[in-house]
Amino acid sequence: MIDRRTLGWLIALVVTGLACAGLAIWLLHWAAELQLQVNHWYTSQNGSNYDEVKGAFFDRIGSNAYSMETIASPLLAGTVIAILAAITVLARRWDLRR
Amino acid sequence: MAEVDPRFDPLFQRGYDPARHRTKVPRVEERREAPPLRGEASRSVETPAEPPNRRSDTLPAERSGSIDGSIDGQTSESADDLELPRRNPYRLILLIASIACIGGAAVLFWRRVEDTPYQSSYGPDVASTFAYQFTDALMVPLLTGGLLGFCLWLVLGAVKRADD
Repeated sequence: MIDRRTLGWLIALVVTGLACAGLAIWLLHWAAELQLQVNHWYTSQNGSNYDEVKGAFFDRIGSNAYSMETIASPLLAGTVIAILAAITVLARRWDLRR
Repeated sequence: MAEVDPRFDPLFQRGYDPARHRTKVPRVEERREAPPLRGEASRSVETPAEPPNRRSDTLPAERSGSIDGSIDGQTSESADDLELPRRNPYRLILLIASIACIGGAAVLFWRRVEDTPYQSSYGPDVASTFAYQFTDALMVPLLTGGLLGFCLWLVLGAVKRADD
């Protein structure tokens, strides 16, 4: 039976990992939607009637999508580290109980 | 009078906690005073009493050298069984997970290297674009987490040695 203190640490790590994963997936999904809009707009343009104002706008959107993808990476790291830390807590508890 | 096999001593039972289950265990002096079994008196060995500590509480066979020789062999054998360290399964899981993370990062990196240049890797819909971006964003966290897990595995081993 896991004692309350260890259980508290494990719950905190699981909550942290799930929060990081959820936020990362939300950001990546949003970034994918923005990226698709940018791609659709660029493929609809041809050289003669290129709208520079709209082009700058979609450039900014593409840049924001890339930033979101960059932010999602450390959030996913938080999930991976939380999983490994939970295993470490269990391993340490095993050592202390023996 | 038949002597009780010391292997049935509560100290040897699984889950024994000296703080909670301490029963009256014959002291070293009492054991020394116990009469040896027939024909085995010449095999009894006197050893000096060790200072009381946690390890000697868990292994009374180590501190009682005057028990009958034929039983002594069995007790030392059971004590050896108790001494065998059982592997920590979580530590093994941590090592395997760390290696898997590093391997996964290597696979994702290789996929990225093999991507065809000048061809958009984003898919035609949100799902495929999301999948591509997700695997792209997962590469560095997997490598970082794998290395960190490996370091934690080493630290756990070092701390366990320090505990012993």
